[in-house]
Amino acid sequence: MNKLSNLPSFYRLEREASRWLAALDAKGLLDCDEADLAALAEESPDFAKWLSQSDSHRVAFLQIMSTWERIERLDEYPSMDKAEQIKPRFVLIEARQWIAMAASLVILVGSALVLLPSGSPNNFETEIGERRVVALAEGSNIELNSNTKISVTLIETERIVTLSRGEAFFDISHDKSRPFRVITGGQVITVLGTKFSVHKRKTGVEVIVFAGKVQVDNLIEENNSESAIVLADSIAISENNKIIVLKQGPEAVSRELSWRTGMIVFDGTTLADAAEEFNRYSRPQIFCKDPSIANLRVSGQFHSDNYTAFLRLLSDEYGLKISRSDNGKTIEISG
Amino acid sequence: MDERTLDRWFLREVLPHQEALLRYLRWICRSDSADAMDIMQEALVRVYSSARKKTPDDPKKFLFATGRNIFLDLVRRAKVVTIDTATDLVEVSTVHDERSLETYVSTQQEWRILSNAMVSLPGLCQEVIKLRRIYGFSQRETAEKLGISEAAVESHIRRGVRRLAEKLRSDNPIAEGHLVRIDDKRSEKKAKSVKPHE
Repeated sequence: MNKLSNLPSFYRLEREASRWLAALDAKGLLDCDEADLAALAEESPDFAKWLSQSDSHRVAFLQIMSTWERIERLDEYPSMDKAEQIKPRFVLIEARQWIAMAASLVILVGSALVLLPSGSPNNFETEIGERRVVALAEGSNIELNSNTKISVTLIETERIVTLSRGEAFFDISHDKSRPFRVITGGQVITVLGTKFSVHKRKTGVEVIVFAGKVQVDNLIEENNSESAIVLADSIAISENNKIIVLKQGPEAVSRELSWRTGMIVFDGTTLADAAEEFNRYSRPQIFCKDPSIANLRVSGQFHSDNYTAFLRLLSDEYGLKISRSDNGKTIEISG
Repeated sequence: MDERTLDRWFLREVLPHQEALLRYLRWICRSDSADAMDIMQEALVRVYSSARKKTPDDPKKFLFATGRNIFLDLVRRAKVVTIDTATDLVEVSTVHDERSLETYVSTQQEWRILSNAMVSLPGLCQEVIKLRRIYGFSQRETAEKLGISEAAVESHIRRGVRRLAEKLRSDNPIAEGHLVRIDDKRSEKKAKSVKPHE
């Protein structure tokens, strides 16, 4: 069938309606929750004229307004945190993405408006297998990896995050007057504005700089601290009161940060280390008791929630034996 | 009914069905979807106009019936009707009466649909909508924070809201559910030796 009709073009109507929406919004007339077309028409006679030309104009505008309203409602979805709704000075908006539902998408950013009191710390936590993004009103974003806990405090002179557990990626907006500090396990990482990750490991703290530069201070004693400047594409490991900075290059850095897209990348990683990495993201814990295979090197890319694909690789390609405990909580790999 | 109440009713009771209607129309049009879009639009306008006098008891059923009738009118005028088309349409109308199909997405799903739509926006556009609509910054504050002009903010809003509308239209999971039911009916009918479609 050819074009059936001489009906007014939907796309033309949508274009006109969105032009009006943007124009009315520019005048600050659309800040309300619910649109009142009559009120808008009163404020803008040109709009009133367009609106009155035809019901099809009216309907087209209502359609585009329904999209506008739906997006605004993103801020109403309940957050899993119990945040106190005290009169806010800062508005913190957070989004979360469960790895299990992620498929191959990059981190999604939805929003839930969480109103928080100023000057006091606010905690954010992820469970095993969960990732989360915390967006700060001043423009910074903090991505939390699996099993991570941070607390955020914003005051006049400083922005402070305490990382008590896990790993987070920081995309910090530049503010000379308010340095951003991450405090974790005896280190303070200070930046003015840049992109880096901090991982609190059992043995120490690992800082990976994606862009810009960070200062890592190892607080040995109160008045005596060892300090290092870490530049982009470098990984700094702070262990036993020493800071080692390794220039790694952008590929290695990207590999270490692949968790941000829900991926784990192994490149000649030992089986023991690979299993340990998966254990950060899944409840069933994988163990490799057999010392003869613990040092087997594996390479590959996996979704961090897909430990079964990893196990399949080990049994199909490496011929290893996989046995699960009765309660499903532990999985053992043997040769 | 005063216009404000009518508008709210329309937004709440009729517009949520537009994506489902569009899929239905695309299926029966079986031509380029521009036709389906225009028919959907016309159906919405007719429902709005007639609701001025009296709102229908079942807005969704009325919306679908209106869409179907517009299509049949056009088809009759174009004289390209097949017997199959006519009988199909009669069957389908009963499917849409069934309440067993979930009409509204759950809150979780809605959140995910909206999030997906937001991230599909190109970088700066997404930032503008986020700052303006979700964070609630003024147009001037948004322009300042992003280092662009206010005119650019307005332009991003204009384009962004259209892209969102388009994405929300194509991403609706419930509509898929409807389509599956319709196909089931069609395969039942096939057994009665009706001529199959391309």
